Amino acid sequence: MSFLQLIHVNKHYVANGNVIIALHDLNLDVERGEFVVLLGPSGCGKTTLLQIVAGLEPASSGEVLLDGRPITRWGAERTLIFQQPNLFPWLTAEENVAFGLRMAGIAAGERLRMARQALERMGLSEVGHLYPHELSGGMQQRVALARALVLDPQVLLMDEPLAAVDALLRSRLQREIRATCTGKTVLFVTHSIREALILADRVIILSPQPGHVRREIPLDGAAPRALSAELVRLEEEIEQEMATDSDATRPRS
Amino acid sequence: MGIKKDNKPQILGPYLGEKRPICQHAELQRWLLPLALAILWECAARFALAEPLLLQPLTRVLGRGWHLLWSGRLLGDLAASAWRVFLGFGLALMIAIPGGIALGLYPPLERASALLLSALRPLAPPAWIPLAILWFGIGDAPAVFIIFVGTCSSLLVGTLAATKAVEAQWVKTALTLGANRRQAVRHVILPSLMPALLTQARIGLGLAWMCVIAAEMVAVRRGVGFFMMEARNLFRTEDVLVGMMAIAIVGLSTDRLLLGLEHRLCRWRAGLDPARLYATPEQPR
Repeated sequence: MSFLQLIHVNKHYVANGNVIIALHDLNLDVERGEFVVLLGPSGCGKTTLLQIVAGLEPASSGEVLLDGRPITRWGAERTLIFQQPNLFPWLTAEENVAFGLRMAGIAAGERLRMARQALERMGLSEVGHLYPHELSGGMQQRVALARALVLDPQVLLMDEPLAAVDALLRSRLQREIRATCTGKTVLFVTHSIREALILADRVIILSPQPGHVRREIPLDGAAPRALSAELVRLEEEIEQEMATDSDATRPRS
Repeated sequence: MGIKKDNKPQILGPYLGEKRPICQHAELQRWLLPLALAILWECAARFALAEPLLLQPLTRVLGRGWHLLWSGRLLGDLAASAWRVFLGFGLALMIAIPGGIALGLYPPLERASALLLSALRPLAPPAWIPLAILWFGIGDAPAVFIIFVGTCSSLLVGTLAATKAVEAQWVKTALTLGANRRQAVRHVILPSLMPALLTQARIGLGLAWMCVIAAEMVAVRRGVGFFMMEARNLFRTEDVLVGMMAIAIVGLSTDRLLLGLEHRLCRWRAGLDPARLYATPEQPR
């Protein structure tokens, strides 16, 4: 039995009297310690999928199991990292990292020590006392990552965490994320094919309207991987495949 | 940078990244208009451009104010008004802020109260005076009641709007970091509301001073509003003006006090930090 299982998951919304099907009969198994990347164009329901696993939204039907137990609501064992760092602006970087520990009732001295350690691992030991608006975008996202990792979650959910950082920083952060998440079960959402191929143990390609699994690509070798000729070929192949159902060619229903 | 850089303020400047006006005339600019108005006032009254009954010279008004201040009369009335503001506005804060947050957090409550709130809001504070006198007679109670009803609905609506404007993503982030609903309210909603609540308090306090004067013109025997009405009945124009200036000065200083509190409590807000506000514009990057 897989660690994280999505079984016949459906999700629909009603908006302005129209039923919009976000996810249709989606099945997905993620093994413990696996780094799975969900790849797809906007509107394919990948964010919805993460929100369901995070427990912030219920599925309309189907089952989501973590370690065999159904997911009923949110919890720190399934931490979600968003595209925006979402640091709390009234807390310093250190206090932000300590936030989840505080919610868990860990004593002030102990959680501060853990927060400092987590920041140090991200190479941010200098900025602990600064407020978020004093940090650059890349630093903010690293603090957000530290804030999630310090809780040692069973599953780490990442919703396009690098979409808002510039290209140079992006490839560096990709490596950092992969290095710091070694051994963790990760569900990572992106619409960048290259990012998926560099980071993933397995890529799941989603198709839009309604969102469903189009193809699974297991990748060999240790990630993060260097861009080989073979990988570039695969990138082009996927790009062509995805172009056929990109939502740019269809009206939004 | 190719664009000409000088310290001259321009129209649209704030949108084009122009920093605070740190020209050497900034302080002068602040006082220019009040000073001009004071001189105009003084001249108009002195050189008989206006009927003395209608306008007394500023210097005489100030002198009269000084005298009233030391005789204790003005302070007594100010204290009476301030006490009513404290009671009425304090009560409104205690009810409207938790109430507004509750309405914002729980949509059924908001739906249930929306009609009532929209209907009550256009009722200006003076519209409550007849009822206040019928219910509470003469004294502090009707004035306190009018301040309360006059500020409560505006505070409630402002707090509600601020609560609904809290970033949904912050709340979701807190939840996936293991917070329960109560913790999310305590550790995310409340701290993020702080700046908006202080702004609401500042607006409300100004409103409360308007209410107290209106209330004191009819229903009481003490207070700045009563002092002004009495002065009018005795044709003491300078006393009417002293009353108005006293209200303006008290209002300005309490507003500044709250503004200082806002800076102190909400230093985390970018751009609100006084050190940043008054930083020199030319800083090497």
